[in-house]
Amino acid sequence: MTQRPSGFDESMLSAFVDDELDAATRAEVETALAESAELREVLEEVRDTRRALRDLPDVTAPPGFWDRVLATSTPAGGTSEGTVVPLAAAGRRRPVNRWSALAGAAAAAAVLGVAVIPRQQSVDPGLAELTQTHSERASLDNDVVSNLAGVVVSQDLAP
Amino acid sequence: MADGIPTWEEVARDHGGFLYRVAYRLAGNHDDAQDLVQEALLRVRKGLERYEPGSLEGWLARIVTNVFLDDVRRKQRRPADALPDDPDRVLPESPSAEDASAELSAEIQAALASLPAEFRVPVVLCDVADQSYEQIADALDVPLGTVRSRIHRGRRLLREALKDLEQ
Repeated sequence: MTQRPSGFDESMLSAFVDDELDAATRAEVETALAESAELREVLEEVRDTRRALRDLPDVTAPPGFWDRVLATSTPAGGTSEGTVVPLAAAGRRRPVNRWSALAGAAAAAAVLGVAVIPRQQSVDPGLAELTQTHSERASLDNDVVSNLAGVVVSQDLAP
Repeated sequence: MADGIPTWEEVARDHGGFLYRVAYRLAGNHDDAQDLVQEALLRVRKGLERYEPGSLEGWLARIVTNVFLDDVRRKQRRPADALPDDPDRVLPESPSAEDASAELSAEIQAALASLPAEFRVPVVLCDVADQSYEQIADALDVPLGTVRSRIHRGRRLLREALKDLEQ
């Protein structure tokens, strides 16, 4: 007999090779296999595919991956819990040229006027004092945006 | 390790390779595998307090699978980023592609990546993570019979995909 028994659940063949059947069901499958060449052929194909998957060579992470995981996923690495830094994406990014970064930072500083603002109050009147005065005045004028100026700048420039 | 519960560092050090292997076979490429592993380890750290000593690798396989499935769902909501179905796109980088063994492995990986996630996941959990049907059923929250049929269907589809690649 070469036809598979009617009503036979072919998925039993995978369970058979995975040793996931109880004794009674296993016996039923063995009987069906003995009767059907078609089922035996399917069984061999399942075995081949299973073996091919299980024989796949071990795959390991690219060099440096685990160092980066430990560095970015521990508190000492500076990344707070719950923050995902896509390492692979980061690895794919083009490395930033140090000089380009410096030039970019300088340009940004120039635009913001930060580069010429002294950290110490060497100008008269003092910048922090001027800012504070402005923000106090703005608060009276109900200028919402200017209200924030004193809060932000005085924190950074306080002597 | 205290009370049979490993520290996060122990999980990463001792079982990171397992986690990466499963992630790579699910994702089909190193870039996505790295993202999956990192997210999985984040969830591991959050969940370690609730971990009940048992099959650690079963627990890890479940976590990385959930991360992968979340990713698949997210990509399905954004079709532009859908899973690649072009076999060339998912071939793992191999420095020795000329080698017949490496080429076969690449073909199997490409065939695996072409399977729909509902079949790829149980096949990977069974044949890569070496999980029992019961563990897979727990991980995917589906009945045992569903696991059995999806593994079998997944293997049959894989064989068909391999035939297509050979032609």
